[in-house]
Amino acid sequence: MCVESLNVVLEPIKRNEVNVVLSTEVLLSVNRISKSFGGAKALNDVSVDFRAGEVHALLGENGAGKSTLVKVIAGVVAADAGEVTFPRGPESADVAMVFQELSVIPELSVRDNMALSMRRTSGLLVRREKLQERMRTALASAGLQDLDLDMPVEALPLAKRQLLEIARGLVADARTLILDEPTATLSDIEISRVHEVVRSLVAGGRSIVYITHRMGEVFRLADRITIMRSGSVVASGPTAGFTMDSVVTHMLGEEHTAGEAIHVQENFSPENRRKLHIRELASGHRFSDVSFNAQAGEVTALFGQIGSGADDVVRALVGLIPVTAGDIQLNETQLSALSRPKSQKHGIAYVSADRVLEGVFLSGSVAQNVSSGALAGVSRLGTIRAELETDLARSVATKVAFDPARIRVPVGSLSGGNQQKIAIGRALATQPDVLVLNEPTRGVDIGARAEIYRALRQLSANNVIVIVYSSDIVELRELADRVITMFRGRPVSSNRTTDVTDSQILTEILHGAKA
Amino acid sequence: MVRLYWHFRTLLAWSLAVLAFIAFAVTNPAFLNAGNIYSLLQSFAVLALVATGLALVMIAGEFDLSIAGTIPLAALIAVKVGETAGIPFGVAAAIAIAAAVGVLNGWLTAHYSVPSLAVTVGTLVLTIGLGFAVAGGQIVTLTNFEPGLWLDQAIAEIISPRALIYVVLVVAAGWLMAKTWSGVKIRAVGSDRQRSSASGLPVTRVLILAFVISGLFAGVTGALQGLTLASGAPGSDEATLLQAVTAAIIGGVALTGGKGSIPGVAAGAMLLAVVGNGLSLQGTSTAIIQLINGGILLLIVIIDRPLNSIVNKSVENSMSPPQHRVPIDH
Amino acid sequence: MNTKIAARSTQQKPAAPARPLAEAIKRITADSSAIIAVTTALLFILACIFVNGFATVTNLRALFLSVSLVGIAAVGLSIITIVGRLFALSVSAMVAVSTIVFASLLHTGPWTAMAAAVLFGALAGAVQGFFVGRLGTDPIVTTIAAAAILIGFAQIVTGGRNVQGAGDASVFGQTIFGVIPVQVLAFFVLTVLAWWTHRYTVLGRRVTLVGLNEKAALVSGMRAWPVVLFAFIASGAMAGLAGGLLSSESGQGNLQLGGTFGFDAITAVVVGGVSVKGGTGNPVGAATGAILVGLLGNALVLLGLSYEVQLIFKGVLVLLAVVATGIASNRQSGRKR
Repeated sequence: MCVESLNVVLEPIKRNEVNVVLSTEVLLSVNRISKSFGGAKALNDVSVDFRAGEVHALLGENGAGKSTLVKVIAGVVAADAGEVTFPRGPESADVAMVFQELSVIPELSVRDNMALSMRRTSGLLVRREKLQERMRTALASAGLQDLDLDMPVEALPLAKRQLLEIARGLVADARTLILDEPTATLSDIEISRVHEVVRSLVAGGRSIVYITHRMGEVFRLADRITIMRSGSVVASGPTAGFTMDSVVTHMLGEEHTAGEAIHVQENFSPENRRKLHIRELASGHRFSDVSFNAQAGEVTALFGQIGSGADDVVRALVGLIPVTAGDIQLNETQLSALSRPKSQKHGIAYVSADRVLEGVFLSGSVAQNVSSGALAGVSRLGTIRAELETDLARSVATKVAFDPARIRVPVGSLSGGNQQKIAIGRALATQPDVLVLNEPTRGVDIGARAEIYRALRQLSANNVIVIVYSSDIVELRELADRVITMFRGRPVSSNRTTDVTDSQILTEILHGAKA
Repeated sequence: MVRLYWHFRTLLAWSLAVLAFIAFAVTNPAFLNAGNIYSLLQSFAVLALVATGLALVMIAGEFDLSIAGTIPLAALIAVKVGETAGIPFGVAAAIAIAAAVGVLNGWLTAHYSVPSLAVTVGTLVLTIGLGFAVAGGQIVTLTNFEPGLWLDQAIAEIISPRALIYVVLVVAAGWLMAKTWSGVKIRAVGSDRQRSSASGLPVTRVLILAFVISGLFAGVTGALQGLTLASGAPGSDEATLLQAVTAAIIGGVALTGGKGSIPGVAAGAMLLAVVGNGLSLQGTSTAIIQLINGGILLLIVIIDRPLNSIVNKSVENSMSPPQHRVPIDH
Repeated sequence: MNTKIAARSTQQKPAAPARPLAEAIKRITADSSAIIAVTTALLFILACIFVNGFATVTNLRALFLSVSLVGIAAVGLSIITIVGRLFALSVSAMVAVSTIVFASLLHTGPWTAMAAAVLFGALAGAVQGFFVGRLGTDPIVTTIAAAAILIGFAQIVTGGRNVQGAGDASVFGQTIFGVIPVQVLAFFVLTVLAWWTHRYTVLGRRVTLVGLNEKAALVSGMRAWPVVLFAFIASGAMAGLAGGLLSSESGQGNLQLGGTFGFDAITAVVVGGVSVKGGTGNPVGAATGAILVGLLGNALVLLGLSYEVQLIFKGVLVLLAVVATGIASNRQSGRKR
């Protein structure tokens, strides 16, 4: 397999002058790993080898098991079966992981954060000068050469924090480095920098496991690809053996192109159709120039990577982040200076992406959760009527395909999918004109997902405007009628989902150009 | 500009302390008398020590109410045990008990993931009860005045050995926070406990350390106080607790944890000591002084958050041109 | 994943047939307030049987009298705890100053004096609630500061001296039906009122929701600060009432009367199973906690044990209660899959 055939891809690959032969020395071997959480199987008999001197991309949709696999490798999570071995020997058993969630500690300085990850925390005194040289090298490799080591991390912007996260991984001096979505919020220049760093690391004989959603990165950077789906490895091999389409097909499964939003009959008269008009909406540096119309009877999706601003548009609609320009018009009313309470009053309900932190009250019962935003509706003269609450809970439960017999159960004991249904139910109980959802099925199993999609589409057919932010292309297909793609804070295009292919959509959100 | 972030509150507090000092010195010539300076430094040292111990706990993200009970308890133990078994033993016993209370506080808080506020209410009541038990319903006195007199003698007319001991301990704590790994870990745990734990830091041990130091410092304060007063009385010393919290917060320590430095706490203690001393010299009643203390605390608490965001913003802006994104926690 | 597969998805397995007794026991043991209530009842019975002099009318009356005032303060404090703002450390100060307010205004008549005390408490609470709720200041520090300011002012106004009320407050010393003192009745009525408000009203539900998860409450458009403000006003009013009733016993008011109200109330709240993390627990729990602590103290005294043993007992009890509630709440919220 020679190097030249790799030039099939989108961009020329920067490689060393030396003819790179794909290395065969295995640094880290995953053998038949399985892991379940509760009843759900996160990893199913997974076996992969990671070789020295290689960038090995790990691909898969949300929930495919990538994060769980690397957590098992890094030792953060214990597997139920199988093992991770280091064929070269114990000296190469060091694995450093750069988390997707930032793990830097905000009120410590850059220096102290780096020092903590160097694990040289034995001994009494902090020898700040001694470690300085290694820190500077690592920081420089990550593009942070001018960073003041005493800078408090909380004063750093997110992009720099992400680079710092990578620098921390570098300084830990491990043979195997796992990078989990390291370029999520970075600009193109910064991404190139990271890639240079990665290439120099593998040239030094390290093994890099690279998790990303960005197809362009994969083909630019990776020597080998492993694709996971539903907890199993579905394909693995040198990058040359894949194309963008074959990768997408593996990730989504054979039938993915057949996935389509189910059609539900509208049951309201067209003159009552609720409409939302967004004109040149902007919010600081987060996004600008966003214009679209959404209406009842169709589900509108905003689609983009983290950092595209798409999720921020959705938050701005519900008043969680400030709007600095443009207007929002719901039916005949102009909405301005929205706060969360104000937008709720106007009939815009919100389902947050983080259900544990913001979506539900874990200690409360299902009924209590459902009524939490609609207390006025289940009370008379300020007193809550249990029967009204129960009725509301039952009717909402039916709408989201939740068993009405279980409305007294504490939400904390439900599965992720059911919790999400309750989170949606909370919003539904407020009888909104507009329902805005942020990652509606994150961490939800397939069965519950389908039920949620059906519920949302039914809602849309009942004259509710449904707007969704998602980063999952299959969700897009199953749920949305219209998709607005965004890249780097600006909208790229707006189409009916049936009029665009997955490649087009992915290209737009990865590169910002219409395909 | 980065220096500003780390030292702003400390500088501010010291400036205020110096200003207050000058103001009182100018308006009242008796302020600068050796005797008055002595008394000022006495109250400063006590407050600085207790506040420093409490500050360590606060920087770790927790709170310690029990010091209000540990101080009188330590005094009682030092005096009662000292009377029967010799003073060194008495002091050692007092300090040991105080440290044990700290271990209990830290362990319960960390191991069961319960708010230290609730735990230290329990240990506060416990220490008060133990104090009454030690006193046994009698007046507890020490017949040997010598150590007390020695501790409070005036060196160079203005400072006592006791104050010096306290100051040395404060400096040691400052050194711990600034120069050792334990200090970094305490700050890390206070700043973000989850991430610290995920990074492998021994959170339980760190919290126990913070509470032990807090207890120790309260214990030393109480023990030496007992010696110098040659007596001990059971009860709770809420006034000192109030002042210690105020001093810590003036110095930039936040209840949310991760923020603040010991020099800042010392500055806060100095400011309060100066204000208290200056006012009482002018004949202001303790009531009004306490009122002013409360007012200062309230004021600081209100301006704390806006003040912090101003400092943060100016540090952010001092970096390269305006960045894309406001730091959000994903 | 497509619609075909989705259609074959598993519906939830039907719930196992509920065995009512097992369910009830499970629910009770999971509910810390219930455990405390049962424990209190048990201990009461045990004390009646085994402690000499406990089950006499005189003793029980004295017990309930002393418990009532702390209980009233504790019930008010528990609302602040349930809404997630930990504690107000200004309760002792508010009670003390309320006694002064009551005594000072006693000459206008006992009822107006009482109203003044309650109003004062409500106002003082409102100011603190404004800072903590609207401005977001830390509740512990704010209430510590408020206490210092209140005591300072009161000290200046009264010169530290006792205020002798010029009037007849004996109306509050009466007994209803010849057995139940007014104070005990007030305690009982307020507890029921607080319980009912917490359990059945919209306001009470908001308090719980904000305490459980303030962010989730915001997501559905609920503002937290009015609820927090209410909690502080209610707590302040109750502290004012407790102070007024305390003062009515002697017609006097002074700063020493605040005594250990603050920590006793906190002890009652914690022992009563109200979680310091917020959201779980009920004002009745605080009332029960007050009874339990008072009961234990009384029994210990009757058994000849000294004051200090009581205190040590209380301290240990608080620690046990905190740990138990902590374990329970960790288990409950950690149960997601």
